[in-house]
Amino acid sequence: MAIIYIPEILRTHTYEIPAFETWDNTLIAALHELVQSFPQIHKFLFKTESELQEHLHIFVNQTDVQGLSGLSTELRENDEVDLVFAIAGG
Amino acid sequence: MKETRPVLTSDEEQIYFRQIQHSTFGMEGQQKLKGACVFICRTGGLGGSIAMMLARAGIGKLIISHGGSLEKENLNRMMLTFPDQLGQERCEAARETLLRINPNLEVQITAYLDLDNTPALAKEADLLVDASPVFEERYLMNQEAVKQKKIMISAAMFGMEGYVSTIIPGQTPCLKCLAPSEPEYWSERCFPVFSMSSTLAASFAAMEVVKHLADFGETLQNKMLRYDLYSNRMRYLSINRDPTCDTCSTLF
Repeated sequence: MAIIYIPEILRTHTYEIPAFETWDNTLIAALHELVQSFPQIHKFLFKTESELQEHLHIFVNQTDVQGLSGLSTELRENDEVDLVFAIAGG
Repeated sequence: MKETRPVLTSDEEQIYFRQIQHSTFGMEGQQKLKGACVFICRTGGLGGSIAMMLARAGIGKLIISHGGSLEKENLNRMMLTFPDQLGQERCEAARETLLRINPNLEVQITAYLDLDNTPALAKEADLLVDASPVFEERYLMNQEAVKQKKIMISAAMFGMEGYVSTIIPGQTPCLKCLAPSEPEYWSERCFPVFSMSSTLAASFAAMEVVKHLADFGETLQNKMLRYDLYSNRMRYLSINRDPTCDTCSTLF
């Protein structure tokens, strides 16, 4: 099981749940499962069904998935997924 | 940074004794701080706390920008401000407090940044700090950092979360690599703030400034330090440049 950590900026749309457990074995499947559970976050994550918004970077075990296999990156037991949105709070 | 390092006065040696004791920083590091100028965009919960820590640490000069007047809703996080300053220009209020902390500090203030004033302000500084709640200002700072090949510490927060990273033009991703355009969900007043969160980001950012200026320690280049105080979770994320970035791709 992998864990997707949900950033604060999305939590009003996830009933304040800070983490989401998934048994999916690819990142794209896990994200679609997440969106299915919390449909309001779709527009924050996806430009199209298979393309991420440009203000979002996703890290698996602290590595940007752009340097891995992108949305096809495999997820394994205990993997940790961070969704990092562009923010500018000062 | 100035070629010749300024000598510390006897008073300054006493004030900074405890940090001079740090073996990899030492007297040389302290002199480098005294000879340095840092340009901080905004003096809110984040930038103001960075300015406060740098003033206390003995930086020689700060250039700070922040427009508008102090309002009640600023007081929960803007560490350089006090209730008796309500209604005062934010920049002036920040300068007043900074000079109380360190009367030897030189403080140059300006209100809002634009295409006309940012290049000259950045040129005066040895290092830039990006702490604005407005993407437009962050992009201005980023553009000047890249153009003038100056190090910029970028920090931001949202509620109980935040991040810090160091941008070294030609060596690391720039801000535009990470956030190519202002997200639709963002507006200047949209984000919640706990001062504990903004000062945490500020501590990492100010330390990053000191490490770069005094040339010691490990820095956050090609890394993003990200924290979430809700779950007390901290991550060191490996970040990559965007080879198609409209701001920095020509440097690579």
